[in-house]
Amino acid sequence: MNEIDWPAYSFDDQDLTAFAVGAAEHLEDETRAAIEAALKADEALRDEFAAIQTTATTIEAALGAVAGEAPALGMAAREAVIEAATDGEVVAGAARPIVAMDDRRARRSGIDRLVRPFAWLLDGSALQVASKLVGAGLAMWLVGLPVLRWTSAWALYTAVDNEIGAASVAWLAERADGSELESLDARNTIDKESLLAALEPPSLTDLVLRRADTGLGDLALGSAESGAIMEAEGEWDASALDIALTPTALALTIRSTAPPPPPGTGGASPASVGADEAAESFDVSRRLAVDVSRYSALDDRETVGPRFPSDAPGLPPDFNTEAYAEVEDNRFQSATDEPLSTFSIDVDTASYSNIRRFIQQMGQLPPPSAVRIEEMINYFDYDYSPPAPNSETPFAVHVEIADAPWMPEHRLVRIGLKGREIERDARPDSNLVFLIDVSGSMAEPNKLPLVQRSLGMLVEQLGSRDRVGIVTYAGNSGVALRSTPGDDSRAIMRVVDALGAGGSTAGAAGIESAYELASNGFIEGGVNRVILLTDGDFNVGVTSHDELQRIIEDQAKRGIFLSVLGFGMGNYKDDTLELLADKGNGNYGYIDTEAEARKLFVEQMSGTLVTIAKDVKIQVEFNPAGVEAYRLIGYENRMLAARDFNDDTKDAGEIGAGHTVTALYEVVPTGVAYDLPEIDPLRYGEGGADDEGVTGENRSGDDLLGDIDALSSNGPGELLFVKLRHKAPDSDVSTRVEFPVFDEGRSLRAASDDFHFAAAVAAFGMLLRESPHAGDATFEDVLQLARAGDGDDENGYRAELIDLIRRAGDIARR
Amino acid sequence: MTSNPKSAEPHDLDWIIEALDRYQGPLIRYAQRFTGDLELARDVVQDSFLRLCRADRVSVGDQIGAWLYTVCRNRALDVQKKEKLMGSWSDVEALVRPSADPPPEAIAALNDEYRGVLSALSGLPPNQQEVVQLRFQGGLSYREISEVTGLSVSNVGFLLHMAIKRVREMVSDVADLNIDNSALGTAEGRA
Repeated sequence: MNEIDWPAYSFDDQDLTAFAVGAAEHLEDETRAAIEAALKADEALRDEFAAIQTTATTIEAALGAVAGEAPALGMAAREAVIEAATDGEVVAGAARPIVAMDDRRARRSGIDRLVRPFAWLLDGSALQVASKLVGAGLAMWLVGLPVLRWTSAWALYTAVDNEIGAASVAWLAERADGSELESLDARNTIDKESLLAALEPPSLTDLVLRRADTGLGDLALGSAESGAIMEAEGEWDASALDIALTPTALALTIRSTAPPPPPGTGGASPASVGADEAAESFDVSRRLAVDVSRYSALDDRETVGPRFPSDAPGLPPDFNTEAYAEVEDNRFQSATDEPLSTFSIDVDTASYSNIRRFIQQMGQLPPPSAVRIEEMINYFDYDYSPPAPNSETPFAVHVEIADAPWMPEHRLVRIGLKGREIERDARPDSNLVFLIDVSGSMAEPNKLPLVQRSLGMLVEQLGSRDRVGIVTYAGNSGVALRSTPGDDSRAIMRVVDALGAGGSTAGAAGIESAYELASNGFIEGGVNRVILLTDGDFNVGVTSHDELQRIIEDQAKRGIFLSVLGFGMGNYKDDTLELLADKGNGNYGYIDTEAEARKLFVEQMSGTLVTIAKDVKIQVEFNPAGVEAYRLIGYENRMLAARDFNDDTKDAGEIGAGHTVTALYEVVPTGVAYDLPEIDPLRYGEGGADDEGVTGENRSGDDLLGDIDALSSNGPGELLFVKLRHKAPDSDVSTRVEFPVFDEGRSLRAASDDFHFAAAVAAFGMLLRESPHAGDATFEDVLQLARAGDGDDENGYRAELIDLIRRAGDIARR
Repeated sequence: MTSNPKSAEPHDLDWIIEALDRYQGPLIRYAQRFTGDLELARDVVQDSFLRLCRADRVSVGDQIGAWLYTVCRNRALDVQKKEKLMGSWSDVEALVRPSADPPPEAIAALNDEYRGVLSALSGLPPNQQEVVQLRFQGGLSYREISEVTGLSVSNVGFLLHMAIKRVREMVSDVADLNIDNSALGTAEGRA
């Protein structure tokens, strides 16, 4: 193939596919011409082309057949639609009830109730606009977004005025466009005048504002009836905005206003064209809303329209360019029905740094889905003693039980692991390859420049036994620095300092080069690690999560681990990054400040680089004699099936030198009521069949505090039985450690500082996650708890958390 | 501003019915990806069409497919969220989330070739499945798919490319695979 003389413009595989499936209208003319020319010249390519077409046709026909089989809308529904089309009204009774209520919503705080209906309305539409505009092209984006963003932000700001304040505006503005945030943040206050000046009063804003005002008034009155109308209107207004903000309407809007007036100039508002449509749709929706609310008064209101549409009809809140996987809190499990709780450890800390960024730098609470409690807890070091020097197990396990602060009738079980510490000099030789994202999105002060400073700190720690290579990736990826001795800091820093951002991201090609470089310089028995530094933008190029994941898993098996360090904001793909590090047997950190870089690269360098045990799993068996129900706090995305515990092929978390890992269980003792749905008692008692195949296990003697017989003793206060498995970093066979744990009935007061502190972090996380399990805890309570546990706090990390809790409380009160 | 609701004119009825007939099946299948449940999917689709009735025809324009899919997706995500059927539709969850296969009764009625293709499709990652569905059931362009899903156009292109490639690999024989590899190798050399 290579002898063919390619035209000046070339194309990707995927362009060929697009061309073959008849969807080439988005391709550049040059690309199309290149494909045509190549097809003319190359017979094999023509075959390929035909094969794609055949497959596409078959897929289309097969899917068409399935869709044809789909049970259509019922007659009543169809008639309702047609009727609506005929007279523009919806016969409420004929329409199918839309959605069942979400009970969690009832738990939301008062402030939430005030803010959220508008937050979603405004934010949802702003987000929708943003995402559509991104899809519609950069030019449109540039023209359209600022106006709409400011429109929304301004409307909310005016609507809620001092009650919610500038933080909300910042929040909204950031959601619409993260890159704008820094300037907002720098000022730290929102200048109302400048917001107003940015807008020639567009009627869309008026519209939004009017709704918001009325709604607030209604809610403030607390009248159930107006509340109902308000709810219904909220629902329909969303649709009005949906409609007004369809891509076409937007396109119209934007086309009618070139050149764009920059915000602040008070030029003619581009929003006005769309606004007419919005206003019209709005009138329809208003009438519909009245109909619906009348209907709801007659009938069971639960089945009609959402009460507080806080869960964002329109787009889900994670339709930001920042992506967080939504994870539901672990629920209480009955110790009788589910005596085993199995999970993988997690030493990641990224979520905490990210939360800190939201609270400290943006003055807002993080989105609940960005909060992973285990990563918050594990950000902090606890005073667990390391394993004895002669211990076979590379970590020590510590368990402490006392009252759960947020629910005093419950017990809180803290399981703490402490990895063996490795002296700096004893650190094995390291072969490090930094894979650095130099795409355009990294060109922000807290991204590439921070990467450069962070690397500077690390390089100072390295010595002649270490090797450093650097691979960059963007539009073009390449090796920027061949493997170089760690003490040649001048050569390394010359490359680091010369890094510049530009181009789009093609992560996969870069990762392959990085792995190649790492495997060329592989150090037997040493640390071999690729460290990815990125804001997480893997979007462009021949890449998919599946493929990346496969590559990373393969390399981890060969002994080259991957660590991921996230930088920056606005474009941050939290869930992707965590997954990659997870698959690569590496850790995942988030560097928002130089201090955080210092923590990871200097203070905890050994832990960051040296893995002492991999695939560490914990299985806890609860004794139904003492435990009614239990709940693991955090680790939601680390849960394993009970049978995975003994399955050495199941991947789990790694622990680095000196790392501490803490897991908290909230336990409902027997005799204490808890709100699990009743399940009939088992007729045949507990099974306990899970532990078959224990024989012949490689148990480690010194940590073996008890054995399996202890479980059947049901001794007084024996609450649970802890089992751990881990593998040496270069081994495929796991070792097992296990011991029973007794509850001595310790009160919270008698618990250690670390216990207080870990509980405070967990409670803080639960509040931020809006967890239904937070009980009556408030930020004030959490603050007290954290203060009770701040201990020695050598590095000031705990003081920082205390400050964060205080700030979060302030934000929530506003 | 007039207080009369802007509604579809009577002569627009054909337009709505045409859209119903063209899109209701594909949309229900699509919504089912998110809701998991057929009845909920029908609710979502009905609601999407009700919204279409209230929409201004001019503003919907000839993008009716994209418009319907967008509204339908948003409603479906909304319902999915409220019903707590599953988590969000993010890339990573999509990796671990079981795919919404076409229902077995629908597959049973098909010929072997179609069945092979469908089972191959059901083995794809959900984000690829979704893009395939939007393209081949909904007839949307890449740009429209990008608007509906929020993915970039190039990502849509990539996902679709991967999907077709894998379906080919799974349904066709080894010889075809070889052609595939040799032909694809060339595109690496970008200008």
